[in-house]
Amino acid sequence: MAEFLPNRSAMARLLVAASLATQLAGCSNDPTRIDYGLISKGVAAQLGAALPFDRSAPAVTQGIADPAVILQQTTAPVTLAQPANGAAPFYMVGVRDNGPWRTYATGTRQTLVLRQGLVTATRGLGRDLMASDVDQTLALLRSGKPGKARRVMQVLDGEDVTREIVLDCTLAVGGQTRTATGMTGRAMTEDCAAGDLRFRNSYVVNAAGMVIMSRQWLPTLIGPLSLQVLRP
Amino acid sequence: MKLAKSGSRMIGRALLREHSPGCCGLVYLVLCAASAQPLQAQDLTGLPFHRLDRDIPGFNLNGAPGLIEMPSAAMAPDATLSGSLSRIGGITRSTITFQITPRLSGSFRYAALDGLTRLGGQPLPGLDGQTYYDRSFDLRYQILREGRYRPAVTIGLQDFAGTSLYGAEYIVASKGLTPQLRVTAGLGWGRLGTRNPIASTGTRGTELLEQGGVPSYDRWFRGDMAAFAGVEWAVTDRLTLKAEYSSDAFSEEVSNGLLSSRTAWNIGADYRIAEGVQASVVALQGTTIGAQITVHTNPRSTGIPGGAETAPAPVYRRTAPERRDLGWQQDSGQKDALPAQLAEALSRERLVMDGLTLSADRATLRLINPIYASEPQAIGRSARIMSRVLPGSIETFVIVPVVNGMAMSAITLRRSDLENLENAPASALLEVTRITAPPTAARNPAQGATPALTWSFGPNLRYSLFDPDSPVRADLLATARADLRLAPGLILSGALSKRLTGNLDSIGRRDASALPRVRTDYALYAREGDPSIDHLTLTHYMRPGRDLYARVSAGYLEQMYAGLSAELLWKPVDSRLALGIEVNQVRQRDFDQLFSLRDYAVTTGHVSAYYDLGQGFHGQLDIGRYLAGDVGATFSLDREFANGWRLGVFATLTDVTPEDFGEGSFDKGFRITVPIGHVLGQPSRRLGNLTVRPLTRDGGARLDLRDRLYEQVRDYHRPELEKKWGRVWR
Repeated sequence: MAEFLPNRSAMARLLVAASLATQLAGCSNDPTRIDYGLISKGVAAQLGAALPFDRSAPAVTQGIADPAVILQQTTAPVTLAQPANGAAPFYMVGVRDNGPWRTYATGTRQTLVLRQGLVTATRGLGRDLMASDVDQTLALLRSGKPGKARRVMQVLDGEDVTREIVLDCTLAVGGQTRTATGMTGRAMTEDCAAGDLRFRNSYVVNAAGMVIMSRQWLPTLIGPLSLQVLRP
Repeated sequence: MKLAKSGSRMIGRALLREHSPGCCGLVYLVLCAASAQPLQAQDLTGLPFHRLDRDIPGFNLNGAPGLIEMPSAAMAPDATLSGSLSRIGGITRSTITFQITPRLSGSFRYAALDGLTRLGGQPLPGLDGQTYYDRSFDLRYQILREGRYRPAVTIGLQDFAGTSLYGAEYIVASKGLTPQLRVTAGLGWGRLGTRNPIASTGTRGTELLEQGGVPSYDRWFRGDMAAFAGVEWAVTDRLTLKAEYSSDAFSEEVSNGLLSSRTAWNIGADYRIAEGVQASVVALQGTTIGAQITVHTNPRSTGIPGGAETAPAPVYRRTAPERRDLGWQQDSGQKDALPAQLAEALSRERLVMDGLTLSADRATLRLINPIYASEPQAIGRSARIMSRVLPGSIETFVIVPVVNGMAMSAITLRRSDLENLENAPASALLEVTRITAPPTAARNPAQGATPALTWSFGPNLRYSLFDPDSPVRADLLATARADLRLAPGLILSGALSKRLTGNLDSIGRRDASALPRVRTDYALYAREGDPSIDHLTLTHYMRPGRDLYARVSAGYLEQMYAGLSAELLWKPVDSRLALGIEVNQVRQRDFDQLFSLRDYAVTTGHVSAYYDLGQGFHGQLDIGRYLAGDVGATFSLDREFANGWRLGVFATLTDVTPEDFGEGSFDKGFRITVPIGHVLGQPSRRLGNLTVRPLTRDGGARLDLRDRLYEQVRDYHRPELEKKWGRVWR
């Protein structure tokens, strides 16, 4: 039965709380129960106890451990991610390749799929990027040439219906640059627009056309991400 | 429709029959949903699918788009659900408004007028308090959208089926002159034609309507007509000032002394306190200050799009040698371990394996999904797990969703497609997925893994609304529930409640009824049922044939009835149409809701047609015999959203005359289903269901069964799977 509430009095307000409590409280072995511990955790990616999916994954601790320690613990690819919304930075570890796409996992079971260093999908970050078509952007990054690229992002709207964000992007080429980790590459920028939505991505691309450092706009709730490849 | 011989007497009766158990607070429902809106919009600003709060027009004291008392031609964005609470001069109005389509909106209003004791100059007999309660329904349709030079034009019916205190019709035009300044002008009839009428269109009936509840179409746009106008000025993003010339004289309120009237001008200010929350202060008729709060939400923007649950496991792409390797077929150790490995991996995704059949190149998984409200998400996660656990030679995955022991469909995926399309749009996978009727003999009974007993214990709430003695009543209960699965499709289920605190037992009314008292004794049930057995049933589900589903339930079926219930449903996997038949032989339960029964027995049942109308609308027609032995039909129309929200209306017309039915003339109401998991951002199939009837009477009443087939069956059929397919890779 419905557990929502009536109006007009302070008692009614108490009942609102009570009605929510009826959804929240109680104990059960019912597999349909809601895990309320998870709700409070939110969606910010932070390193937890164990990485999912692969037994070889390292046990990394909360907070931002020394990159050297992380690299010692695993032989897998590692990238450091810094959300622009101020959430804690996190490491992501490559756990599975599927053709040109590589799935990276965080310690709290979110995943990001990268192709040539470009984020093409996310899972578990809230308002996820479900899929992308970035072929034209990738071609320009590989060739190191400026030009126009059309990008398509697929997201779910609030109704859970798939929507496309079709972006017209312009890539520009800068000079050679060295990253904090000592890798060198060419700086490039990508200015994209779809309606009133406008953003700039910036990349450092190595000789193989792989993005080794970047700041990328994402539709997710944690916002744009700065990514730094520690081990490709 | 019928006119009363002495209308005021009937209004008096209306006052006495105001309450309805099992209802909900209108405004608070919206508050609950709105409070769960964590989205920060700015990132996606300007995209066509991203709605913003500032697109919502101001709402008037009636809880509808408008100025202060007067309506405007504005429409809220499609699917906006608004709750409004206003208080002015002893008049409290709570209104729930839903934008049914981009051009059509509807409202339900519950008003309390302190001190209204006379109507049309006649005293209201039987009014035992000093407060008159009134319920009304409105509809508004925008006949012209606003253009560059053209104003938006809306036609509206206010209280179109009530006893007509708020009865009015209008045609109104609104135009934004600048982004900050909007002007509105219109013509009103009925209540909106009472001040300085400029013309008259025929004669408007003035008798009060006997039972109410029937569209009073012979009065619409009749009688005196008056003009109104207003202006809204958005000073900042948050603050809007407004002024109007009102065509409503507040005749009844003034003659009863609720407020006095000095001028036709009303002024007010709206302030947007937070995303989706409007607070208003107004000065009415030059004499009275009032206040209002309006809360907006939208089923399309509650919760986190795509959910906040953790990621699914990535698909495993096989190497060429793995695809060819049939060694596992000869290795009985490896082969026998596979079901347990798969079940274990699925359980980490909170999915349940109910059986697995393997051949060299094909795996058929019987899957129970207790958790994901999006069925494609459960399918997608299962398929990912299968790609990681099952031997490489298996190229075809068949996933058979199982609900209460019944196989619902067969979803066939090629493993190569999963590998190749993991990073493609979800629609690409849908194109190559087959959704068919389930194989007839897919069951491997030894492998079921559901716990045989599921139980829960916790608080629970029951409430009653619209009782004039106390419009809000509720009990807090402790409820224990248990389901025992005796065999696949055979379930023993019970629930027991003990009252902790509350005031439902203080309902003092017992209205006369010309029909068997099949529902109106709810006060006695509330008073004597402590502790109560809410239900205790044995239910058997079956698949008697292709496209056929069956259920037989016996026991204490619901709060008020016990007996036997049988149902048969025809629903092809691809079809948007389903047909069902249900027959129940029941006896009324004793008020104490333990094991004893009363004398009243009835055979009740329906034939039902369910149809997915498309564009998010769903219709249902039930024809049959109701609990009081009356014969008729129930019409239901719902707007459904892929994320699980549903809002709908229903009405039941039977051979009971309006006089015998009593107040309201026939059974009707609206219902809202809130997907709890979606709103909380967690995977959960739990739904909050709310049915609001302005009145509970004995005509047109159906059994309140917990386990009707249709909603269980349609979830895994093609039309529903396609609607929710966007989450298959989530």
